[in-house]
Amino acid sequence: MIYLILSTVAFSVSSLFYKMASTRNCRPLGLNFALFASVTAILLVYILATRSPFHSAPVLIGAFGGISVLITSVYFFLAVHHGGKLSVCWTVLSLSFIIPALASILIWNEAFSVKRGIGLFLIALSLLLLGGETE
Amino acid sequence: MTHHSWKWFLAVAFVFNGLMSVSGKVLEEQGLNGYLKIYLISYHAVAMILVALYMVWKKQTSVSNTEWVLGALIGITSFSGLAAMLRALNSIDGIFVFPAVWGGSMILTAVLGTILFKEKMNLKIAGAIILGITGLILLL
Repeated sequence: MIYLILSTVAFSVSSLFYKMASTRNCRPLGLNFALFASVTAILLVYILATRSPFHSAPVLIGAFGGISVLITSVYFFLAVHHGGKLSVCWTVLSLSFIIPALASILIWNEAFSVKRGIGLFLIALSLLLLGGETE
Repeated sequence: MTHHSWKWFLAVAFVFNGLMSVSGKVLEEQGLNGYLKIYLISYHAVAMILVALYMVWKKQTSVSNTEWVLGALIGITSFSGLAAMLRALNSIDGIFVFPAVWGGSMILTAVLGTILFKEKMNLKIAGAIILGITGLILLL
């Protein structure tokens, strides 16, 4: 549970830095390059220092994740650039948690119940309400 | 691509953002948790190379000091969030982890925005936060 809390807090702080970047005229390309380059550099130093074991499968899965996050960034930018309201686009993007949640049920057979269904619905509703308020 | 509407672009972003999280779940389900650092460096390095290529194509080869500082801060916090989310998947079901992280962080951002940036907290936002927390409790 501690990792879950840490993850939620870290992503929230990250969103606040994004907000800060948007008010300081940061260009999306420059910002994204700095983001990925800094993390790559830190991880590279750490992996070399600790001589972490290597396996090809995580490289491929990670590459897929990296391509996915980049396609997300580009198409999100295009959606906003082509007339999509930022608050609507951000809310819809947040609702994409439904894809891994559904994959967990359908592919990896995780337990699903009416209670959990209502929980998912309430979270989606909460995001829709929050999205209508943030610009 | 200009003939597509913003909804089509958003649909693509929606699907790939979901697939990005699925990639982390695949790592966990394949029993490759021990290679988390390899997954993360591959994830960020591939994205970095593609952004660099796109920057060269767009003839934007400079990064400002502000972009470096804020980019690094966003990178470190989002990387920490991703790493912690993948660790959480080791012991908690994905059906709880993904909504809790993505929904929870948006709710927490709204709360922090009110506290740190003095953003308005009206009845609708308060209701959304209560609904979100109730939803998370029901998912447990």
